[in-house]
Amino acid sequence: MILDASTLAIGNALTSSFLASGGTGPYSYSVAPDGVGGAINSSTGVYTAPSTGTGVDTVIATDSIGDTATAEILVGSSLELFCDIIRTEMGLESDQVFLWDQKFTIPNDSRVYVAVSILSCKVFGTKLTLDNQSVSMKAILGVDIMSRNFDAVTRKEEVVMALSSHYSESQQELNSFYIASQPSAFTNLSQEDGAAIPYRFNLTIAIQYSVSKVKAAPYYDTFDTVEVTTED
Amino acid sequence: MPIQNGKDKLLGGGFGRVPNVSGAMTSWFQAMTFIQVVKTVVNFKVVESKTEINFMGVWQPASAQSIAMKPEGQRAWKWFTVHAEPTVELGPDEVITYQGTQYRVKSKMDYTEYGYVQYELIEDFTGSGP
Repeated sequence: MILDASTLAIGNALTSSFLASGGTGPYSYSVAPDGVGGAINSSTGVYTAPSTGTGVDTVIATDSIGDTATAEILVGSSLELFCDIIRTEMGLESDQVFLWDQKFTIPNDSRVYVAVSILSCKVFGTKLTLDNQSVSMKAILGVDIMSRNFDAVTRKEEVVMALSSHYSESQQELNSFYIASQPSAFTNLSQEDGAAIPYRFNLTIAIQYSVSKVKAAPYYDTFDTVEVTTED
Repeated sequence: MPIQNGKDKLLGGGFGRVPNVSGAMTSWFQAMTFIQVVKTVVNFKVVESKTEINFMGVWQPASAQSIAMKPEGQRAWKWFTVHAEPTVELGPDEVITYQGTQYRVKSKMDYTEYGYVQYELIEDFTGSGP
């Protein structure tokens, strides 16, 4: 039994369609507890990500004789989805791509690591509706490709290919973010004095994305409770 | 019977192994607790987890001689030496907290065959870790 999805990485409040096959129909779909908290239509298999929070949900498909298949879906911000594109297209393990954290240095092994960091970002638009607020952002991201062996030298171009891949384009379209420019040059940081990592290349990439949150407007609810007094 | 000089004997040669001095160390050891800070990547984000290590060991400031051998810029760091049971498995650059203060392992001298391990640690002011 196989469980396919339109995408396995998605932004908040967006949907992904799951489809089971290879078992005995009809299929029913559910989300395992202790995940990020998405919901799924048990008959159609349309998964809806929670409006806030990042993490992983496990979707379970069950066929009519009780066989099951599972798939994990990542719910994340545009930055996490950006990391997911690089990880998926380069075929890396989940710990090889990370959002840069000053508390983290790459382990003493010979794998290639990719760190994504925000160099600068600015707001270029805000929007407020009755129950939704969003901010449009433009960010300059730094992508570091690092390794203790020669991999960073030979695989650095794969990052550019990942960001211009079909998967990247479909993820950008699904999740409303946009990789605004392709990098024109790698900065070679391998020769830096005191570098802890022998091979290191840096790319600068601009992306546009939006962050939104759903929140009911309490002001308008007060109309329901207005008291009308009449004289006898 | 020929006279056997000590210089002609290999260290532990008669027994096939080096002398185990853990018996002598034990009387100096006391119960200690390190909290090892391990950082892993979960969903592209670095997550810290803490593991408690209970062991017998001795904590002391590094000797003046060992500090004198450090590069000049590193001599001002707060260096400590820990002798511990071989069950304590830490590596260079790993981070621990001891009595509320964070330290980073700078080197490990593995004398497991002798019955102990020795670590050099520095106080980790920045809180940055592996």
